[in-house]
Amino acid sequence: MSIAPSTAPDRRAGPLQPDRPAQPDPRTGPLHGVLHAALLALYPPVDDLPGLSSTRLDPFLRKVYAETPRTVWGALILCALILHLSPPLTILCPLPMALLPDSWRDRHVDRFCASWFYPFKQAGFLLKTFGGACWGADPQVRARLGQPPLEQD
Amino acid sequence: MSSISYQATGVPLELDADVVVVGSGAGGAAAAAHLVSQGLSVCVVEAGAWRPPESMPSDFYGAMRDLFDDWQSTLTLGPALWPVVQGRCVGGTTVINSAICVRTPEKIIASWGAEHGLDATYYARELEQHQDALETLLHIEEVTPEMGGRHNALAEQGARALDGHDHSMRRYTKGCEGRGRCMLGCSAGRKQSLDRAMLPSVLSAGSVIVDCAPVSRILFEGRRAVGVTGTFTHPLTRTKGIPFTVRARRAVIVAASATHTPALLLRSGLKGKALGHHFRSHPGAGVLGIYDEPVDLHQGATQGWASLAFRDAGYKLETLSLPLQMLAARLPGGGTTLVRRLGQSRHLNHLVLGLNARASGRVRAGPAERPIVSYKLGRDDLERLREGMHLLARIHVAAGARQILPGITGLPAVLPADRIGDILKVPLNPRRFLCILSHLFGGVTLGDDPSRSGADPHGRVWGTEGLVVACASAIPTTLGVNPQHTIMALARMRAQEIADNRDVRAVA
Ligand SMILES: Cc1cc2nc3c(=O)[nH]c(=O)nc-3n(C[C@H](O)[C@H](O)[C@H](O)COP(=O)(O)OP(=O)(O)OC[C@H]3O[C@@H](n4cnc5c(N)ncnc54)[C@H](O)[C@@H]3O)c2cc1C
Ligand code: SF4
Repeated sequence: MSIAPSTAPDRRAGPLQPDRPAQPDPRTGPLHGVLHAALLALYPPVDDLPGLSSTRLDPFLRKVYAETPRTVWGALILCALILHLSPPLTILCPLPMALLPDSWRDRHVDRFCASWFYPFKQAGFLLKTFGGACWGADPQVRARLGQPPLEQD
Repeated sequence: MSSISYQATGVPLELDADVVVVGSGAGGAAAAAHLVSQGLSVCVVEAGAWRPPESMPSDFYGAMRDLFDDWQSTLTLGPALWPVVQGRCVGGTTVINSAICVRTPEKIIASWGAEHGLDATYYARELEQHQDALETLLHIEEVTPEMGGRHNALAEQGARALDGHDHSMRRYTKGCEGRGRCMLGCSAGRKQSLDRAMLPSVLSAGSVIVDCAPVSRILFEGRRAVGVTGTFTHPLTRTKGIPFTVRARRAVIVAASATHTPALLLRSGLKGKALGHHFRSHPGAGVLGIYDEPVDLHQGATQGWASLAFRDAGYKLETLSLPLQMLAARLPGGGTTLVRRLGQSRHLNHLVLGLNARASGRVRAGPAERPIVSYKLGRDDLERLREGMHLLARIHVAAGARQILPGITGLPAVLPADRIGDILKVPLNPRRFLCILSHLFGGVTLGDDPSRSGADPHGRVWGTEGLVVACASAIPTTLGVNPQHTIMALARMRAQEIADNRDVRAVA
């Protein structure tokens, strides 16, 4: 057997933590707010269940920005923009989501996610996936739903 | 000499071995471990990173980042955009799968003979021998009621009421703690995924595993495959490191999955007529039930109950626990409606079916070394999908669920138990269903006719020498059952053929 010697270190000694940035990149750009607001609308507080607003959403989004490929981040922003601009098509109201009263906004996001229009349904699914990743990891939410806390990522 | 990971700088890495194996999943790891047991030197080249149990991600987000292929962002191109889910790490998809062990059905092997020109007697004998050996090697455990938890027990209870319970689930686990997080990698180290159960034997035999090393091309001298090349890629930042080249003295085995193997062969300039064709799958769809008592999906084996009783109807039934974070995306609606439904999450149970679909799709080589998967279910498949989802709802009801969340666009988000028949009235439009493709087959299928298959009956890629496929891409049909056992056994057959020094040339 002849395998050429390599200069590479033996890495089985410890777990792989490959030069992961210690702090997530703080520059998530001007569209950060668009995504942030979309996710808050999808996961509002209800009764005694906390919404995304009481979780660590900002650091989470910075982590997503720092870690996902640009295509995934771009898709998230695009879906958030579509959610913002689509109230005319879901609740027939000619205003962007940010200007809607709370109850209208809530009806809009619900209809958007359950829409017959496939791009809306898919956009809602992607946003819910990432929002859910943050919401479902929150210790308070987990405690309320009888789930054990998660170890740190 | 052991494993080599991401190399940022330095001189390009050059290695050689008797056999180079691309991919370390079910096929690649099984082939590599068998080759070293036969005294050959192997270099396994894997695109993803190595994750020991203690560094498994703690949550779903971390799993998408660290274990799933491309953040699970590969979608089928067709009328419906369905996720194609697979692993990208040392151990491949076996790290994120549920470790269910099912032998290759005899009927399927017979169809390989009748329809694809394979020697069915040879295949039946060899598969049986290798699956016997694999069951000794990978500890097989039956799911006990303690391991299964309430969600699996309820499924069994409901299925029994409909005469749909036929066997106890067997899994590649050792003392499963029923943490219900198989999809996030087993942090308890109980799942016998192949990074734990097979690849250490490759290292201890003195062979090499190179990770964070996506192969971009296969190297040829004339028609002979002589090695592979690529550039180290940081698993998180995707920063490119140094180039690597691994040369093979005897053969190159490609086991990069049913999507990546055909894409790699096409990228390497191969032009076989059937390359990338005959991509198949078992699309999976789920139905949730709401129960009066807590079910607690997070307690118990991730998939601890299954039924093959309806295989002739075209589907296999299973339980599937979803982490809270995934449940959030799966539940219908948004805003207060969504959060309110999540508030009931302790009372939800989730049953899924794997459809033995007849549809056949195609894989092409896309930009940035990603595969493009075209796939579309026909009317007949959609009919069986709908029927299977109705059956899942009936099992829920028989187990005591008072409401059903079918997850089908156009139906009410929540159906009372006496209205589940509405599922059978849903129009057969794939966009109404949310399916996930996790059991994948084909793309470089085995067969005796180069115009209809990518490789000959021994996995040798048509038109080449020394190039063998040994992952799910070689399987010419769907199986109707979980595929890991079949893939591993086929890979060991290919490894044995190479070790026996049988001709590795395909008839042109
Ligand atoms: C969520 C889930 C649950 C499942 N549960 C079960 C189950 O319980 N039982 C069962 O039998 N089956 C199950 N399966 C299916 C089973 O795990 C797969 O069918 C099987 O692992 C496929 O084996 P493979 O060798 O074809 O590919 P994989 O196991 O996917 O391995 C392919 C490897 O090749 C690597 N690779 C890809 N491209 C390159 C490249 N260019 N260079 C280098 N490396 C590359 C990948 O990173 C990967 O590690 C499940 C699948 C999923 C997604
Ligand atoms: S159910 Fe949990 S303990 Fe059992 S194999 Fe899966 S992840 Fe490991």
